Amino acid sequence: MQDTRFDLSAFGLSEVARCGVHLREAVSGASSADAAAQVVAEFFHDSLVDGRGDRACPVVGVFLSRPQAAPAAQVVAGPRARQERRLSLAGLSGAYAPWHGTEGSAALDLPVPSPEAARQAPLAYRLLDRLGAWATADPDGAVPPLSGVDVVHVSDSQEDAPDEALRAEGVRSLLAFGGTLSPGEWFAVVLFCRVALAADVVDLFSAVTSSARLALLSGGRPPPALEAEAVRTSLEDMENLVARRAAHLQSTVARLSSVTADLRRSQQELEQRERQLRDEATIVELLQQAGSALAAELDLDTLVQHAVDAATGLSGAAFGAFFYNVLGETGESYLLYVLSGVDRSVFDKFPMPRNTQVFEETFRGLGVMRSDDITADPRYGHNSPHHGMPEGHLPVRSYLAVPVTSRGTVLGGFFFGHPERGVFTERHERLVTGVAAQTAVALHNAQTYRQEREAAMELQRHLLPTLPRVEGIASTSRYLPAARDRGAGGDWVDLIPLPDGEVALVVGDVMGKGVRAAAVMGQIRTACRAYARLGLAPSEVLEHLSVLVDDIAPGCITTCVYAVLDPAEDRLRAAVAGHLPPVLRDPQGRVRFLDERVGPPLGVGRRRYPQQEIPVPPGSRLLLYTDGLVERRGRPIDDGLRSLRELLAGPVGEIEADCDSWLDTLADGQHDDDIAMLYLHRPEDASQQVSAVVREYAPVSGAVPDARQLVSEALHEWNLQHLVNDMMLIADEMVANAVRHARTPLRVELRRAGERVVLEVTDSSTEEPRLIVSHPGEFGHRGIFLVNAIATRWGTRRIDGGKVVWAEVKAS
Amino acid sequence: MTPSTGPEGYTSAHGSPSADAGSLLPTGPTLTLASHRGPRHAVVAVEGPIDYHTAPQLLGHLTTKEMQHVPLLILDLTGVDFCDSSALGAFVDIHRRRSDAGRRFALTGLQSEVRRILELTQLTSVLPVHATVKDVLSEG
Repeated sequence: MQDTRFDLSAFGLSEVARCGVHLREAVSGASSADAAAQVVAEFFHDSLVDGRGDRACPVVGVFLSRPQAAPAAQVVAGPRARQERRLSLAGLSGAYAPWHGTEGSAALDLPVPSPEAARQAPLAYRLLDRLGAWATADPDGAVPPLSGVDVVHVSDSQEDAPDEALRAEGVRSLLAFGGTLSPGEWFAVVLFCRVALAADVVDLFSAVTSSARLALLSGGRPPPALEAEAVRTSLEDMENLVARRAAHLQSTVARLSSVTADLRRSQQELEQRERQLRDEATIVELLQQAGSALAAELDLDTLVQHAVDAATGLSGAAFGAFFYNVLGETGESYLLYVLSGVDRSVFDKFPMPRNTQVFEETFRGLGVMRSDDITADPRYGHNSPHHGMPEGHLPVRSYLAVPVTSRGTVLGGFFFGHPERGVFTERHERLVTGVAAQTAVALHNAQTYRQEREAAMELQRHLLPTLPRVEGIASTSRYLPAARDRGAGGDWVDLIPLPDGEVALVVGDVMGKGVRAAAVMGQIRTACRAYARLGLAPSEVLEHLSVLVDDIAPGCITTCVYAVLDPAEDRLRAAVAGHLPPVLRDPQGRVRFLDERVGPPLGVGRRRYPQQEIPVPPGSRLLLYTDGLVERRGRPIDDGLRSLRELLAGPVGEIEADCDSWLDTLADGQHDDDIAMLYLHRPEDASQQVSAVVREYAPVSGAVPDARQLVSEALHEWNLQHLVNDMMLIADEMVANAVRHARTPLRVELRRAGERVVLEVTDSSTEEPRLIVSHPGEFGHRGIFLVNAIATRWGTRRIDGGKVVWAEVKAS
Repeated sequence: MTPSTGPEGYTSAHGSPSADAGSLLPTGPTLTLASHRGPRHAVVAVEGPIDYHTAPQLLGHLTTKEMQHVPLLILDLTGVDFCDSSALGAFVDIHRRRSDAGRRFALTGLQSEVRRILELTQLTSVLPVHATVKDVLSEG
């Protein structure tokens, strides 16, 4: 019996089929319908289990409803006899008091229809009543053709739920099924279940009913036709059930698949929406990053580089360029460009773009141009001589160009290229357009800032007195704030023309830093100028200054050198107040420090300062300086002074070049203190007077030939034809370098000072040129190398807002 | 992506400040380039200074498809009184490209100033320099 257990909680079609087979096996050999009924009752009692394998139905009853008066299974069909019907409990398995029969024998046997029967066997009664079982008791005894099966299920939530006693047994639902057994005879099986039955399981019991009928029939040697009919009915019921199940399954599957499709669709929609949102968020984030970087940038060169780097990164381009217009100082507009993703040397060989059909859209600010393959664009390739990209141009298929406009003015344009087709998407276009908008704002800001800064620098230039030029004397000065400190300092130099051709020379240093030191310095310098104009002797000037310092800044140690040069007498009178001594180089190249008589620093009250008198014939050079030039942390001041002496004793040349190369040697950008220098040269004769030519240029390639021309003409005029070739090459390389790298307006100055000619190129970029020795097979970097090879000396110096690159050659 | 401003093909163009198109284009002298085509060679005679300003024009002229396929390209510098590092860069570039493609390149007619900067930069050891066009052709 091990395989004849059916789990009611997992009751399916196969259980129905197996159940039928086993039922018929179980009843085989039953001698009567009653005997079969008992077997059927026991079968269900024993076979149906719950999910854990325990008996699912503690009580099973099998009722038969038959005509009365005849013993069981004996049909007495007398005409006109009013046949009474009875309902009897033919089989019972399990203990149930109301039906209190002893095991194996039915105790219930009641006439039907009757209230008694309805009360005692309510479920079977209701089932059979519904099927019309009592109707067969009509006077004609004719068996109604009615046949059929029914299943009644009562769960504990319903009205006639299991009574208290049954509940105590764990019975949760009642199930009754039954139908016609044979014409005039009916049966009903009642199960008391401990498991709650699902609706589809209940439905399955219609097929179980057919099997039960077949089993009950086989107990009483039924006529073959009846048995055949029962088998057929059973099969039909089974088929119907299978068909119903199949239809149900099919519709379930259909519903499921439609639900799945819906789910998948909505999931795809969700994913797509999420992607879009993410994309949006990324775009916003990227643009914000680029935007904040750009907004913070006020330096134009850095700004445009940031912009092109950001846009190239976001566009996925192989390389990108940003062309932008710059207004020169004289109001002319010129076009510059920066690159990203590719070295500038790759494009050095190509001329600037023109308004070709491809570029026009962008340069005129007409709109964005995005092409999957620019070479297939109808606007491409109409301009000679290359009809497209020039030879050697990086390959471009995918093309994206976005103008940068502000208030209707085209400020510039972004251009992006990629060697593969179809690289740039709408998303790229949106990103770059976003960067373009931010760039426009940032460019506008930078321009405003630049204008303001230039105004401020202009103001500063007015406040800082430039030293006057004095007939017969070449002079220059330097002021360098400490390398790691941009605060105001107390160093100063001054050059004051006096009556009778004399010149007062001053260098001083107010100890301390900051506004106070600067303010004290300003007062001292002003007072010094006033004393100078009074024609006081150097010792007297220092005496007055010392009193003044005591007055205005007691305890503020100040050192100073005051000297008066008298060119007519070839003589210098000097007084020193605790300051490092001036250094003099005579025409023979001998160098001496003017340190014979040095007084104490200013601010020690009224006292006379010693004064010395030194011959200064034409050809002499004189340097006044502050301690920052020679003093360095980790280097004794004597070492610095010794180096300075050696430098002055060495080859000297044009004064600007001298100053710069000495500064390079002594300070090298590492000075801890401010440095002030005043340097003079008394030329030996009038022909050695300084003469100079100056011209300013926009950073365009045309500046290069023009600067050569300028240099050539000036040297011819100065009768220095033999320098033309060298200076032209130097000018060419230095100007080309500024145009190529600095890309700011530039100023070219050629000066002649005695035996020397100096060329200076000033630009507004602080990036210094470096000497790169090019491999012979390489394209670039020979410019500075050539300057280095030809010039006697060359160097750079930083100035406010830019740098000067200079080179000097000897005239003889 | 840009067509150069140089003359097209093998015609000769006279150097003059570019009259083209306002602010976008640099102005200044341009080169005069006269090309003569032989069966297996081309001679380009240059007149004017080759510098940062004009080197792109020269490069544009020497790298057209037609010029590229000439087995031997001779650059006659007899009319060139000035070269700067941009010119040297252009020579090296052309030379390298042609060598890579298995084609020859030669410079002839160097004036002293031009020769000097080639020597200063050690490029005489890299670039094939000959006295005259005839020398190159007779050498085969």
